[in-house]
Amino acid sequence: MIQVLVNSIVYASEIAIIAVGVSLCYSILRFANFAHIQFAVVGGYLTYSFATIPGLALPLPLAMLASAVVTGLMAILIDILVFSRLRNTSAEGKMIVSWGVALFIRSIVAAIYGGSARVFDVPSSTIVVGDAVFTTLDVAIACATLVLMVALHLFLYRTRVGSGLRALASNQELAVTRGIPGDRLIRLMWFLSGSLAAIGGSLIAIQTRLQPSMDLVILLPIFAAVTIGGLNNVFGAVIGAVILSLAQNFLIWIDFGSLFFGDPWHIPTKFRDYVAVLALVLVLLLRSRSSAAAAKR
Amino acid sequence: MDILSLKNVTAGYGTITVLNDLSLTLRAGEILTILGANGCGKSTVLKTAMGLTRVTGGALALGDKSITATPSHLRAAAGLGYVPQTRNVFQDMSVIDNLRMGGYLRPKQFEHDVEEVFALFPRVKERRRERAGNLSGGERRMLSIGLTLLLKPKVLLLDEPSSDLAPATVDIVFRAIQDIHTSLSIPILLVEQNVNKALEIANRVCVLVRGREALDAPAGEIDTRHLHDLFMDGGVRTS
Repeated sequence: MIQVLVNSIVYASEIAIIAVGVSLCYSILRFANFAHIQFAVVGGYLTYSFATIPGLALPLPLAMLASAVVTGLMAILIDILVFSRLRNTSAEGKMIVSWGVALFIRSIVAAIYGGSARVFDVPSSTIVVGDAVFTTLDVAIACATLVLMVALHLFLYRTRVGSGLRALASNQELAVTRGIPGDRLIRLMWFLSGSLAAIGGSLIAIQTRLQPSMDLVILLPIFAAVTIGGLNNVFGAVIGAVILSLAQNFLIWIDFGSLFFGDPWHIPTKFRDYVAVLALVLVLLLRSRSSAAAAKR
Repeated sequence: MDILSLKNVTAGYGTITVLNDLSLTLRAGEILTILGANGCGKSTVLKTAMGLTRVTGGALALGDKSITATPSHLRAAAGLGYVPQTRNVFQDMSVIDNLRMGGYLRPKQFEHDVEEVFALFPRVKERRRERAGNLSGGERRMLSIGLTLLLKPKVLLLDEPSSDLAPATVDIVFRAIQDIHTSLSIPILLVEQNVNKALEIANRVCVLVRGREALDAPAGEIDTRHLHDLFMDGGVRTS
């Protein structure tokens, strides 16, 4: 049980840190940015490069920081080159273009780094608490996420510029006519979501391995988490990640065989993603039903 | 002295043109009311002044400075205080956070300035911890005017401040507008459906018909029968 909780927290941490960026972007620009997943992949590769390039070989936390800054700037550049020109395009239009951007970034990553997997060499020791076994890396990941989410919350709710971002998300026309510099804050939003994605992508890469195809592995859980939490709500994405992660890990942990047939049988781990799909379908069904009920009222 | 002027402005949204070659001037110290039937482009005048529409011809100036190409947030910084008719508060933020956003450009003076708003609208002070989306229509209107005042505007652009309000609340809001005008000597460009209320406080009236100016006269000289004709028949007298 504790083991499942630990696994869930670590997985949720990695997902949440990437998912908040999707929500941040959606809340202000009103479109689901599929290129966001590639920010995570690029972030992972940049961290790897900063940490391993001979002559540079930054310590891992510094490499992640550098990667976050570069990926954040990349997100701003993509906005300048692509998305800023589509501000008045429909959400669907922007979403489709974001797929195009995602494929473009994916090809560049594959061209530079090739398709083979790379593994971070991170020293990590094992911690045993009761039945649960986890690593110092797990603890570091969970703590890093917690610190970043608290920092993001403080920024959005306790600073003038952060409140400006919330105002922009709440009512763009009203915000800019209060003198809030919309374009500048949108750039800041891109920087934040790009940087957070880079850190999330790096954490996933450090724990598993780095491959251009990791985008497909994280795509589903991230968009499922964001959808569960409500696309519009930045911290809803965090809650969505926790719910999704708990659902995935618990469903795999439960011994359905013994419960129903007498012989032990678990849902195979490879079906984990199906839980995400199921959650996504359920949320969409329930939400459309509740909004239909609200419309009737 | 001309405070805000639109010269031969043609503007609209996307491919739709709403204002046709419109010229209009707000002078120092006055309340200029724009009247007109629904859909004649009254609100579009204010949106155009704020840079929220697509301007395809003409020029706008604030004082002697051209603002034709100035982005909205710099127009606000230059002194244009705009109170929209709808969506005029940040619904999912608290009242006090709404006010803070109103004073975004003057964060250091906020604590002092907000007391002035509270003095003008005590109800807003009582509700300051409430989520703006939970306010009544009247409270919301007061908040929207209050948060605009925190910008310390040189000009106020008010879009139908009486719409959807109970008569008693309309009186409170109009009294506040009059107060703001006299005590802070801010010129006001007012768009209004409530003709009687508007005529009560206006110095000058401009009537729009299909995006063009059909009448510009001092409020005292307005013949309500003529107004009626302009509203109903687009400027053609029928009797």
